Amino acid sequence: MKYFRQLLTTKPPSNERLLDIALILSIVPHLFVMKFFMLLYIVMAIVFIYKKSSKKYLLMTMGLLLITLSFFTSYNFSDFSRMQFFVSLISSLLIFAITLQKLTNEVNIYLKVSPILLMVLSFFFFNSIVMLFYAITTLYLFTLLYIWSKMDTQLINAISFTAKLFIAALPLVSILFLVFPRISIEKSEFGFRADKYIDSGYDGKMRVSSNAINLSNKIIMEVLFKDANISDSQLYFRGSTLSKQKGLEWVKERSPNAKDILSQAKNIKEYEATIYPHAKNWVYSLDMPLTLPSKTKRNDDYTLRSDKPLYEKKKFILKSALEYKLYSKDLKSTLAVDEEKSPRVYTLLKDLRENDISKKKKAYELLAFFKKQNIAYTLQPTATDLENFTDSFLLDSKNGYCVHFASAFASTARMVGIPSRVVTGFKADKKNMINNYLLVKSSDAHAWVELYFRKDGWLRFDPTSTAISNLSELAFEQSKNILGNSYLTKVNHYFLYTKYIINNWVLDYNRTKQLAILDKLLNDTLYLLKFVLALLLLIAITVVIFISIKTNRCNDKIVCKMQKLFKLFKKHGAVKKKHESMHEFLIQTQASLGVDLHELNRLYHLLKYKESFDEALFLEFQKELHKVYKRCIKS
Amino acid sequence: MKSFKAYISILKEVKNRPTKFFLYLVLIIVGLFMQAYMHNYNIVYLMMFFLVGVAGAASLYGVYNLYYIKATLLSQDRFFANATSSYTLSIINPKESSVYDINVILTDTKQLKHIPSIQANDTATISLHSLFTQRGEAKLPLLELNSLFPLPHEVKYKHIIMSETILVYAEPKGISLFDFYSIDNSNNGEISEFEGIKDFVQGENISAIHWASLAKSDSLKSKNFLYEENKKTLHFDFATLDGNIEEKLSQLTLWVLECERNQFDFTLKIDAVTLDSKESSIDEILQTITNY
Repeated sequence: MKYFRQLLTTKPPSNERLLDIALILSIVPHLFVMKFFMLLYIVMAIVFIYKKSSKKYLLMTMGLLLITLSFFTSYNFSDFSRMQFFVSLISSLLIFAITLQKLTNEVNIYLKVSPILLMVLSFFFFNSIVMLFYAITTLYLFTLLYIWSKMDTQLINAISFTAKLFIAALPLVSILFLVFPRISIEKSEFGFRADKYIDSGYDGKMRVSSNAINLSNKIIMEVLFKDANISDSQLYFRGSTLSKQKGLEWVKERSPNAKDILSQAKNIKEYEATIYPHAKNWVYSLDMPLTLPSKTKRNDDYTLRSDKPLYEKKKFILKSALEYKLYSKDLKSTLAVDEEKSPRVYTLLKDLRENDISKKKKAYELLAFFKKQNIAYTLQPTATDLENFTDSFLLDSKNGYCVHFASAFASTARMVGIPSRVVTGFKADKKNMINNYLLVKSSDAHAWVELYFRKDGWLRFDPTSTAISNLSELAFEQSKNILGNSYLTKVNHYFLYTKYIINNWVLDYNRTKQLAILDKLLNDTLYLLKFVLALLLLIAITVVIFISIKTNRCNDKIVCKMQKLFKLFKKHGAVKKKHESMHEFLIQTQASLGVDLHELNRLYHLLKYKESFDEALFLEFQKELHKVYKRCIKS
Repeated sequence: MKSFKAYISILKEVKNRPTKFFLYLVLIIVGLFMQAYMHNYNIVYLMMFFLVGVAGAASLYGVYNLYYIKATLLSQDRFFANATSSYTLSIINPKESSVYDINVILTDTKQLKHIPSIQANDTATISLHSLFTQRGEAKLPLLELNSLFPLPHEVKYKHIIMSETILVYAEPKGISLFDFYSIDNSNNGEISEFEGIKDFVQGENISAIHWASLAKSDSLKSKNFLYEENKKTLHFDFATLDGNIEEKLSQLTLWVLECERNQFDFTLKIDAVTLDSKESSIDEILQTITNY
């Protein structure tokens, strides 16, 4: 703390030192993308510069060698098509040139513009919130360093002044950010290929196994609903429908005629789904997607797929109908079941199968049957005989997770003559929703069942809800276990929400959003009013902060306390002259304004000339100051 | 409305012009725009907007940095026509906050003085020199105050017209008094012309002190001169001098200054006015010559 205070009161170092600080600041992001040999070169160069070595040619040779080694493994001409490779090569050469120039001890114009060039190059590497904060902070620091050298004052004064400039710039920055025309096409890649991808862990297939599941909190997608009016039971995000049962595996095979037809779509929800990279084409949408975003296709079963695998986070603007009717023509594959693998359950369901009730009633009876079995929900299933899975799961082991429930329910539905299919995707938890922002994590991966009824089409049934413990409670408990405690979960969630909002409204702000805002401004008077008020509020806050930041700090604690009184005196024409003593000033002011300042004068001088600072006396001084101020106001 | 009017007047008084850094700024902004436009990077857009915003804010602040500064003439040498004379200006900052990086430039000669900062309610003193070609009343040259603070993309400047009027005396030019009157300027004796030293007596002329002996023996001695002429009063008459008016005035100015330097008493007759150096100050006499 003492060191920090000292730092704040230091005077500016030489311009050369300030340039060094700027160079170090601008190199930081490059260090995160540089390879070992390049980092080694930087360390070497720092040692050479620090020791003021004259061996320039040695450093030059070593530099060339290490840069070559740094890019050797990935060096072939096709690598130039990767933007990161291309830009990192340029930035490495620039750093090489900077270090050599530094060694000559000569500050030329190229060295002066290097921090800016390095900063501009770093924008190619990262497009994240961290980079956003880094960029603004670095720009602030660059400005601060320049102003500090000009002001030739304590650092704290330069910090305050630069802060004032930035705060004064905020309204203009905000307005420009909102209205400046943006590019209307997608982000241009200029032939550069993407560099990396991350696997999401979600799989289009479903296989029943006795493996335990380790849920992770990896984010799958972030959803921003237009309004938060949606219930927990509606948060089913469709991944894939699996109609064919191949032993323990459910796969997607469908006949060409098995095309689903959506009708009577109601309760339509608009939302933006930002899907994290998973290197596949899956696009998760709420049951049932209505719109088809650009560069996506709709499968026959009303699941969506992207034209290209998602190697980067991508946003989709979607509309889904929460109430709908989805019909199919060809249901052959949705009735096939191998009853010999589950003879006991098949026998148990004989009455239901032969009962002359509607299929829908049968489905609910089947749910009741599942509930009656008292099956426990667990992520570590035990003692299930996979050879006779349905029998074993429902009648013996009686424990499992969504995959077991869905598989058993779809099989049993087929046993009683109801066409069924398994749907895999994500069942989000409304507890993970802040306002209209919903976070879908890997731990929300789920499987459920759709049963087909001639009148209603495909209807969603979630057999996991028949487990002894409630699914959402379980999911909540599990997420609590993963993250440690609920408070941290909440904090983490709010952090992610903030991050998403910044991402959504700053990093991903585009022409579409601009036009949407413009459209709303033109058509919604209330929104226009809110917008104008928000701008005025921003300007007012800026002005308040601008005024409240003091550029010149008051060094004398006692005199600082008197500033308010001095201002009041000034209003009445009593101004302390520079070379006037406090005693003279107070005596003269007392005479001219007719206010008794005798005690204040005494306390001031007692405090001022005491060997050590007296806190009690200072308190007394403050009280007297307050009294004098009140007296002045009254008089 | 009142503050808006005040703001307009501030903008009118303090002007600005772009510097080479403005060009750099434009280049950076264009570069950032290209990068932002081609790759649709909102971070780069934001950087661009911040640059514009901060440059704009700096511009406004720079205007305030300069607006309140005043300049007054603090002291001056005698001004003579065709001779460089120096004068001291007080640059005043009446603001409650400090001002920084002030350049004071004389617009005619481009003479520049840099003041790094002036504290709140404080002044800085600078010395300048000017040359006037004609005698008579004159105005000090127009001052330009400029500053690159806080950011160097544009220079903010304002002109200050100095209200003080100065009197430029006639150019001291012509035949030296000593040549004209064949006066031995060492009337009190040169160092080589004294025959010895004696004890200094209180009341003796200070110029007679023999400093060398003071330095050597720490005793105050005075020079014993071979001869001493009685002081005589010189009489200058404008009418009897040769040459045109300016030449005559220059001659008189030169003699007056020489008399001052050598502590000669003199009278000056210029038209109907007769001035005596015992009664009028040298400046009054010079003013009379100048105002002829």
